[in-house]
Parts: sequence; structure tokens; C-alpha cells
Amino acid sequence: MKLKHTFAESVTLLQNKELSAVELAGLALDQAESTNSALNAFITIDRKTALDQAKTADQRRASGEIVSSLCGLPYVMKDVYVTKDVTTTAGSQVLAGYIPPYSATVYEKLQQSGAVLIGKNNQDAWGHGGSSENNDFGPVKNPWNESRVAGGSSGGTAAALAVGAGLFGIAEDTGGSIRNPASFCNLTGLKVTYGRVSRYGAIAYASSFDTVGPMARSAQDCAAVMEAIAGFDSLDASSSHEAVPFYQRELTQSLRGKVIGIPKEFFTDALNPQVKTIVNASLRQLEQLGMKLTEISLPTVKYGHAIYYVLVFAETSSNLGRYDAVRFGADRSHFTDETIRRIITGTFGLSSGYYDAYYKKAMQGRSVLIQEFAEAYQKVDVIASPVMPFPAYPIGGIESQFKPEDVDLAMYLADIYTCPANTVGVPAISIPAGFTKQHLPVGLQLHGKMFAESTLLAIAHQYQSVTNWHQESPRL
Amino acid sequence: MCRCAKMTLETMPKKNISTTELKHLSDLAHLSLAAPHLVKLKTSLTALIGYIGEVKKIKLEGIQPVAQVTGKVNEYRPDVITPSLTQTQALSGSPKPTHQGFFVVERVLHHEA
Repeated sequence: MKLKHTFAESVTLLQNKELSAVELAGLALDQAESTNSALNAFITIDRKTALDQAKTADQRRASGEIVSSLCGLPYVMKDVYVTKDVTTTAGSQVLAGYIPPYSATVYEKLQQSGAVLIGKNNQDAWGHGGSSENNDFGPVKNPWNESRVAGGSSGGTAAALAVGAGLFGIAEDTGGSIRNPASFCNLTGLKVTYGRVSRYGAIAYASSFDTVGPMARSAQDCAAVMEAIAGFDSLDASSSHEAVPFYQRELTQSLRGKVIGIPKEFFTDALNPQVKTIVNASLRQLEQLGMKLTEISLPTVKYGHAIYYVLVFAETSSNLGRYDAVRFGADRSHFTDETIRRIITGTFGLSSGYYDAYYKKAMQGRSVLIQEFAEAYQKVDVIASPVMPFPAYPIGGIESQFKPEDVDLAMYLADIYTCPANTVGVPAISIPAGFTKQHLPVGLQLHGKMFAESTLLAIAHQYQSVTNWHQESPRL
Repeated sequence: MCRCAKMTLETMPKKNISTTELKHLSDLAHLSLAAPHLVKLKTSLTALIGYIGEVKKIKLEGIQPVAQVTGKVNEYRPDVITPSLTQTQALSGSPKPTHQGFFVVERVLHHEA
């Protein structure tokens, strides 16, 4: 049987004791197992851990303990978080079979809330990609069309949630890895402000860009998850002391008069026409909710991509230096070609003779970009853009669109709208906004001010209360 | 497909990476790459490094570099010992057999010839 209940329905059923956490976990596990051969969304499905956690959740509710609304809800997690006693691979053969001796803070927090881990999701190895094709466990298939990519790097999380193998997911976003698959699979995905959620135990890709965030069917669901996972953590010195708002309570805040900035650099004729039409229609809908649209300019954003890649490749070359087959994992000959390319390029940007020309310039460029966003936020509350320049493309198919010598750049260029949020540190949300003629989902992206997740979630929630794109599900 | 991307690609400057440079970089990154791999990498790296070289076009006079976005300078915690992994747990991920409670590592010091 399939898990058909929504997040909110499941909370009510658990509260009213009409359904147990064990029953819910069973439904999610069945769905995860029955769809995995078609979608390849999971690297690990852990029935025993799930049922143990579900039993604990049922006991906690039965004992009369005042529990989080998440208590007993099944969820899925990108395989980039270390989970004590549960295999963790980061999508790479280097960590195949690795069983961590400790847990990521986000996993600890979800265990405290009583949520039930169903499994660990397939992804681009180390987060290195935007399609979940670039890994050692085979590509993730898009549930809306299995010949197409699910997006990435958190593609497995998105595919699993789209078919109801969990009620929410924890993914990771370094340059679009939550928002991209959310848009390709018709989910709501939140890239949080850098430092909003602890990164402790998140296997590092690029440490000054990595963020931990939720993905779910609706903004309301993401708001509930955020209340459980956000906040300062002494184990992550870069996490913020900023107070955690009651995100669910703020969902209904007035949007009247809020200003949406539309950067002209993001809405050129180059954008896929169907995506452009859908995104423009969603912006008009936001206008009807009382918000104002205004054109803005972010002149340095055209270099945002180059700035981003110099810095993240440098950081990943450093972070992946730890894989030496001494303390854990296999040796460095097991990295994929894509990971090797990123390590070498990062090493190049940091090496003597090139540091000033690449790494230092990119760090200065990052300052300029931060400044441009800060100036824009003097005039606007949020900044809108598409999530992806095109809808989900055929598996292996991005390459056919480019000249042979530029094939290797294609995947990087697909991140054009999502990278800037990570470079600047601001939060950004991907909201289901419609479907193409081929019935492929398209997302709208909204960027907020630092720590303004509640504004983004409120806009997404109120948009979702007047549209039903987010309620559409694939057949699987 | 994204036409903006194509336009950027067609006009971007290329920096050719030599095999010697590539060998040097792979040594720095502790990656031992076979000759056919190096040839393949050379082409894609030339394109990639050309593309990231766009950063050189940004006007940056007087701009301070930033390494992170939080604005934090230091984050202190109380100087007290907190629970940690046991030695067995810490050694549990070792791919090789451990030796008397230690990881076994490659020799790094050698006698001069």
C-alpha cells in the first residue's frame, strides 16, 4: 500500500491515534522499496532502523509526552549526513559501506523530535553535480518522466518525496542542490541562510557555501521541519546565534506592500520560453496577493558563476584532501572523473602563481556580489528568478546541447540562477509554479534577506493556498 | 537549452594547461592519474579554467576579499572536556587493520640515498 496521507493529515492521524508511527513507516518503506528499482532514489533503505525509531515514537506519544509534530513522521535524508550505525556514502565509492561512529546534528535533532528515518538518498557524489547522474550508484530517475534526470545534487531526496516514500526530506545545498531537484520534481525546497542550520556531520563539499535544509510537498511542511532543525550548535562554529522564529506561525503574515525585485540579468531572451512564461505567470499571481514587482539590476551576477566555481572547487580540493584511506574510506583512486576535475581545478586556483589571479579575485568578487545584494535589499524584500534555465532534461542529454569541447561545462552552466544565493549566503526557496507542455515541473525561485526564511516560507505558503501545482503527483 | 550559456562559452578566453602543469597539480592533490586520464582531463580543464578566468574581468580595485559570509570573527566554547568517541569507535572506520590501538599509515620519512 502507498503512503497517500499528506504531512498535515499524518500529524492529525498520529495525534488522534488513528494511525501509528509503525504503520506510517511501513507505508513509506514499502513505497521506497517498490519504487527504488525504477527511480534509484535510495542508496540505503533501513527497515530495521525505521521501525525501531517508529516504535519509539509510538511509545513517546502513548506515554503522554508532549512531542513535536514531527514525532512519528517518516522522512528521508540525503546520504551526505553521517548517521551513527547507518551506512553513509556521500554518493561515492570512496565511502562505500562506511558506518559512521557519530551522527550529524540535524539527524540528532530529528531523532529528538521523534521523526523516523526511512533511508538515505542517492545523490551526485560529494554534491558534485546538478543532475544526480554523477555518482557511483547509478543515476536517479525523475518520477515525472523516468527517462529524465531528477536534478541534483539532492536528486534522490526529491524523487523519493515526489512518490511518497517520506513526508519530508533533509537535503543539502551548496549551489542549488536542494532547489534544482525540487524544481525538477515539483517540490518545495528551502536553501537556508548560511549558518541557520548546523553543518556538523554534513560531509563537506565547500564549507563556506554548504547549507542544510528541508524539502517537502509544501512550504507549510518545510516550516514545521525548520522549527526542528534550525538554531545554534556549539559543534558548528559557523552556525548562528540568531533566534529561531516560529516559522509556522509566521506563514500567514501580511504580504501586502512587500516588494519583489526582478533582476533584469535573470530574465533575458536566453531563458527557455516555457520556463519564462510559467515564472512570469507565478509572479503575476504574487502581485494579486498584494505584492509589488519592480525591476532591479545585479550587474556582477553575470560573473557570479565564475566566482562561485573558483571558490567551491578550491574548498572542495581542500575538504576532499582528508580522504586518504587511513581513518575511513577507500583510497583516492576511487574518485569519479568529475570529482577529480573539481579537485584539480580547485588546486589550480589555489596554487602558487595562480592564487592572486583566481582565488583572491573570486574572494573579492564575492564581496562585490554580497554588496550588490545588500543594496538591492534596501529597495526590495525578495528577489525573484527561475530556479533552472530549463526543465528536467534526458539522462545523459545535457551534453547533446553543447559543442563537444564544452560538454564538461554544461552541468556547471545549468546552475546559473542558483549559485548566487550560496555565494552571498542568503536564503532562497524553490516553489512549484507550473508544468511545461511535456508535463515537466517548473519552479519559481525567491531569494530573501539574511535570516528571512519566514518571509520566503510565508510567500510560498500563501501562493500555495491559491494555486495547486504543489499538490500534483507523478503516477508512480 | 540555455542560449545565454552558449554565448558565454563561445566568447570566453582559453588558457591551455600543459601536461607538466597537470602532472604538478595532480601531485599537489595526491591523485595519481594515468596518461590517458591526463589527456582527457587536459581538454576539459582548459575549457573550465578558461571559464572561471572570467573573474579577471570584474572591477575589483580597493575591494576586500571575503572567505565567508557570517561576519563572525571567533566563536568560543567553554574550555571543558566533553564526551567524545571511544578509541574503538574512532578506529572503527579504518580500512586497514589497526595496530595496538593506532591507525596504520604509509611511511612518510625515508633515508636519503
